[in-house]
Amino acid sequence: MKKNILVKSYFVFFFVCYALVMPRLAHAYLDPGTGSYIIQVIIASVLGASFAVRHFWQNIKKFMPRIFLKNKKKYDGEEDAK
Amino acid sequence: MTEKKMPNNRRHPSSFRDPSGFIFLKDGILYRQVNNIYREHYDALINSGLYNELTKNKLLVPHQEADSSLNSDVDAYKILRPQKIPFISYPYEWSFSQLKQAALTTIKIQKQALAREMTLKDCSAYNIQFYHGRPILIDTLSFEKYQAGKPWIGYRQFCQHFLAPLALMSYLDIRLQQLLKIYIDGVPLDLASRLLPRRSYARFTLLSHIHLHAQSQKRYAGEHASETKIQGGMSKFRLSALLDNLEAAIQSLKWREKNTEWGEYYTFTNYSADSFQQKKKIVVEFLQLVRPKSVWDLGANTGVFSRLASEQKIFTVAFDLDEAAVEKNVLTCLQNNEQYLFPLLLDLTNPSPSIGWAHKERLSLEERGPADLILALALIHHLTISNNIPFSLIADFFAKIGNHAIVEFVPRDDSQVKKLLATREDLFSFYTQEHFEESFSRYFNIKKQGLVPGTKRTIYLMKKI
Repeated sequence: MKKNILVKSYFVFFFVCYALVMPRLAHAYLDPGTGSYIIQVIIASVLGASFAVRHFWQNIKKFMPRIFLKNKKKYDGEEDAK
Repeated sequence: MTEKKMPNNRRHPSSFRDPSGFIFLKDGILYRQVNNIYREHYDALINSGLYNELTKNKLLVPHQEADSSLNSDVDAYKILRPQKIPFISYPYEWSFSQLKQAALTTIKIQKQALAREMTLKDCSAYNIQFYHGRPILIDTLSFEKYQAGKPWIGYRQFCQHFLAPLALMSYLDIRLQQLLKIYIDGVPLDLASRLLPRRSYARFTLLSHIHLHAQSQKRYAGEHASETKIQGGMSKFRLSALLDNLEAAIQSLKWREKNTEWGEYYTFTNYSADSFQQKKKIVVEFLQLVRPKSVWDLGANTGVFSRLASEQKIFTVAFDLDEAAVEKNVLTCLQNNEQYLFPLLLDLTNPSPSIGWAHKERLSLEERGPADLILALALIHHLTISNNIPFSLIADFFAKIGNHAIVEFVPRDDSQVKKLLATREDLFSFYTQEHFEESFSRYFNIKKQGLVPGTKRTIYLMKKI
């Protein structure tokens, strides 16, 4: 099911991008710079979302042990106090 | 880099594209001029701490600021004296791993630059060189201050110089790397897109950075970026995501080398282990007599004999035409952290030419020499019998690229030579030891010779006349 959604979104991404960048007339004075700028903005927008999710989880993972460690220390501290 | 061919105090012929500055030679020392136009960016590189960070991590060539009066140019802001790189190599001479390492180094540098509010404006593979076995950026003027919202100007060049050739080598054939010799600004993306197989569309990284990128270039050719209202559309966060994805794309490309004839060469030698050791002993003895500063091992295979020099801390370039042998050598160097051995790909019968504008941008092999010593072991019979190159022409070329030479002569009755002659009409009556000595004596003085025990092979030590 999850794989199916992934495949579908991949095709949607492909067709949307293809429609956006489908060649029109070829120009005599070709400058590939503009096309490179545009496609990187499109790709980076798509990637940005998954990058954000990944970073969010990484931060959560980083943060979690700290909470546990903090609680453990607090607990140990209480024990010592006794 | 050849220094003998550059007139004093003149701009190096390969250094003309970037208005930020150029390199020049004065009294045998290479300098880099920083032009006034680049002042703001150079100061940012230094003051942001990026220069210190990159040089500390061995990612950027270190330099000293020299006396600015070295060049009377009114455009000069600073004169830098960069650390010397012992041998300038080009991407079409690198193995798959070397090109991949260079690509990953470029991404690493761009990430560190971005963290300090700077960006790479230039992503040419030619700006990366190998120093002490590791890739390093040599163009100090490749950085500019990061402008929020602006797309990465080096993206196209990165895809053309690194991603496209690596994808072609990985998906189709390792030899497609040679396209870099034809296309000096990297493999055109429309060509890469046409050549890559359909299954490459199934990989997000290749679909987007090569196939759709090529379509986009065609679609928007002739339009100015500002007309398309994309300025400001690229946040730093998105740019980081793009860099992460490019890094993953490069990481995922692999070359599964097949065992080639040359990659397994030492498994099939026709002499005993004892003779092999004796041969090494003779080469070591000759090396100690010359004590060269640099060695070029021609037909080095996986570098077994090159290491006799590099292990003595002699800078050694190990050339071979077989991609698998060079790749194996590179991986061994990486594993052992070898700093004095530099494996490179080279077809000696068609060595790297001088290419680019006015034949001056990228130097030929000969222009990057001469080496102090040429090592040519078990090579001459391949050049003469397989490639019909007469002894005199081999001697003439060796004298142009080396001051000394250690050359092995393999006689006709050696089984390896017999094997070469088995499938050819024997037109090689001149292939005798006497004729070999006579031809080489016109260019070299034969200083010493040693018979490899247990074989009929002779190793010669020669000095250029």
